[in-house]
Amino acid sequence: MNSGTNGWSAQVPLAVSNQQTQLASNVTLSATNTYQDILSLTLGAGQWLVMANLCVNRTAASSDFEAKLWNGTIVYASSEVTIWLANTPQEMQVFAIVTLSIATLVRVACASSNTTTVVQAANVSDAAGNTASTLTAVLIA
Amino acid sequence: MNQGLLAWTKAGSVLFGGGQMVQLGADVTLTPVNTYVDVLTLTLNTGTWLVMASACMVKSGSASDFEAKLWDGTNVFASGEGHSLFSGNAQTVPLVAIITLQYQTTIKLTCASANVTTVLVKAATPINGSGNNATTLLAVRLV
Repeated sequence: MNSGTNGWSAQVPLAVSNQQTQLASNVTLSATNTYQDILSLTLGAGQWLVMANLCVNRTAASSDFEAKLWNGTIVYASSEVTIWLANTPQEMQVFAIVTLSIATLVRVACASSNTTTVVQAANVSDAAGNTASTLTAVLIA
Repeated sequence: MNQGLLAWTKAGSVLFGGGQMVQLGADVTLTPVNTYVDVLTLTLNTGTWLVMASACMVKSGSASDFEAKLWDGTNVFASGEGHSLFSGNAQTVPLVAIITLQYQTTIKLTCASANVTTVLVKAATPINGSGNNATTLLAVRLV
């Protein structure tokens, strides 16, 4: 422990809250051009850094994929990627600084203009457990 | 005791110093070819910052490469590249860096392409757009 000076009085556990959730099983994007919620976290009031990554794949052919971070009404960030062949998944990221005045359910949602599209819980090749699609939030102020 | 989980506090404050974020309000055309164009900027004060950016890019007409970098006009902190095979299909290039600044500095997200016509950095995703939030630059003060 360091007593410190000039007002710095204690070394204490970092008073930063963080939350994370990961997809446990694959989610099929059942309706084309329709955003489907994939993961969600309930965050308290404050300023949060929210980060999501989704492993997206199509078993039939090439496809676009879109993701958004939102609270059901307000979209904080969005992203788009394209895969070029069947079963050539990509990891897509979306992140934002979100300031909340009340506890809020923050979600990452995904859409595609094609059928047979999937958000993967695990990598298609060389899978490393159900860790491929994640929503993470860190309280920053 | 795990020192990696400790932080200094003062008057009840947390270590992190909050964040800043900007998002692209309108599409930016990348011209001329192979020339980086500033897309978004943030002016950051002295300190150590986690800087994250994403640039959604698309080309109409044919395939294209897309490059992005985080820099201060001289020092490049991170760079990335994506590629589109088909007209109108976007790719998003994410960038992350931890940057220590000795004085107030303007950090830039800058993009380029080796293709000639109609390469755009998009404010909104071209398909299933959700508003002007597809190209983002943010910074979180760490210390």
